[in-house]
Amino acid sequence: MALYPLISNFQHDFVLQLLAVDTENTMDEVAAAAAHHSVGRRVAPQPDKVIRVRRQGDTEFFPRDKKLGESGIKPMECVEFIFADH
Amino acid sequence: MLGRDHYNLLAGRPELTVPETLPIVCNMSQIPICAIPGDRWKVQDHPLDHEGRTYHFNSAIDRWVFQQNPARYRDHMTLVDRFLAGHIQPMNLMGALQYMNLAPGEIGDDAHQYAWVERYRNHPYQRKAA
Repeated sequence: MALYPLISNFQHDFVLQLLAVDTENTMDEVAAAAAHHSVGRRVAPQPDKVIRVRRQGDTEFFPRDKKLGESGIKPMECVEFIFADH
Repeated sequence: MLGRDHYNLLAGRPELTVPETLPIVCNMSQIPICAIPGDRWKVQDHPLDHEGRTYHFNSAIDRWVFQQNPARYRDHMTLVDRFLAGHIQPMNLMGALQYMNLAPGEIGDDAHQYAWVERYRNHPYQRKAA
C-alpha cells in the first residue's frame, strides 16, 4: 500500500484536481474517489452510468478491477474519468 | 452541467459548493488548469517531462514558453508541488489555505449570505420569448 497522487480530469467538470488514492485501489475505487470531488458538486450525477478510467487521450478504459499499482499510471499523471454504460 | 451550485444551495447543501482538494496549477501561469466544462467538456493537461520532473501546463502555449528558457522556470514549485513535497503542513486543504494566509470565513462564503438563493427559489430564471 502506498499513497499515490493523481490528476483527476473528470468529464464535464471545468478544472483538473489533485486526487489522493492508493496503489491497492481498483479503477472503480479510484473512480469513486474522483467522483467525490466532482459529481454532485459541479457535475450532474448519472446514476444509470458507471464511471470508467482511462489515460488522457486514450479511447480504451482500464479494466474496472485493475489495481492502480499494476496499471502503469505514473504519480501525478492526468487520468480521465468518463461516464459509460458499463 | 456546470453551475450546479444553485441546485446545491437550494437544497441546503452549501458544503457541496466548495472543494475538498486542490486544483492542479499550471507550472507557467500559476493558475488552475481549467477549460470548457459541460457538454462541450474540453479540459486537458499539457504535460512536459524535463530533466526527470513532469511539469503540467494549461495550454500548449504555456508549455512552449517554458521550453524557450527552461533554466528560468524549472526550479519553481507551484502550490501543488509544495503541497506534495510536504512543505505545507498540515497536509490537507486547510493547511494549504492557511499557507496562502486564507483563514476560514475569508473564502467560500457569499458576501450577502446567499440572499439571492431565496430570490431565485421564488422567481427562477425564465427565458423571455423572442
